[in-house]
Amino acid sequence: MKKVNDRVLRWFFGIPGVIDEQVRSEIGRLSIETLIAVFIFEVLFNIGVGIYIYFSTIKDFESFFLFIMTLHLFLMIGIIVFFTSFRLQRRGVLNQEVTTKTGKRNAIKSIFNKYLTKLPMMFLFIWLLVTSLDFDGQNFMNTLLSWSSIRQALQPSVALTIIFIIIDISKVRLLKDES
Amino acid sequence: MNRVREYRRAKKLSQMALAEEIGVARQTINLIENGKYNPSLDLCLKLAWVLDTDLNTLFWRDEDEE
Repeated sequence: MKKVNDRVLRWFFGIPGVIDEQVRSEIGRLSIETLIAVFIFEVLFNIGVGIYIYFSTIKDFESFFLFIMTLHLFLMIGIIVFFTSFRLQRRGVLNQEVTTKTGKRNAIKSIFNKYLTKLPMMFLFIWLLVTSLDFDGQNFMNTLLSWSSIRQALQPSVALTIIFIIIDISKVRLLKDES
Repeated sequence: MNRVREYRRAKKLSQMALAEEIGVARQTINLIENGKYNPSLDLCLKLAWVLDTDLNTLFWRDEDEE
């Protein structure tokens, strides 16, 4: 069970190194702070939206609903990233530490391999998402195999892969041997 | 403060080597050495074992040190 928990923590927070008692306690502390922040945000956001709906006349409720949903999603992601990943990064928990130049080269190579093997899956996911959003109820396969859908999926997949690779490479730290 | 750094250096171990030896992250060793993290008893015992000493020597604080 502990191994499964560690795997989940490693996957969710993107921790490359060892998950020991100090890292676990740090994650626990940050998670509680995040929970409090999310609770306060939810209360204020819902009160705010409620007051806005009460005092204004919304003509296009569907667009308003979609806008609020999107805003909510981005703010939630922002809060979680700020309260966990950003602060874990500042404490060096998300750094991948190596002691030799060869080790650094290997770490960078493994980062490339990791994201290049994930690229097809990411492309497939975005491709299906883009197709579903473009789908007008006619022929799904035609929409799926259209050049526009492929291009719309390929561009963000490649861009995100490059961004993730750059972010992960920036976290590789070459340590001085202080023995 | 504790004497982990002193004993680690005496054993000619880097923070990374010591961390690998006891199965923790290097940052944890760094935080312990700087007195910013209080390790569990289990971790203290592992440190004492690897550094060939006892808990008193590693972690006991004299009154004048405080």
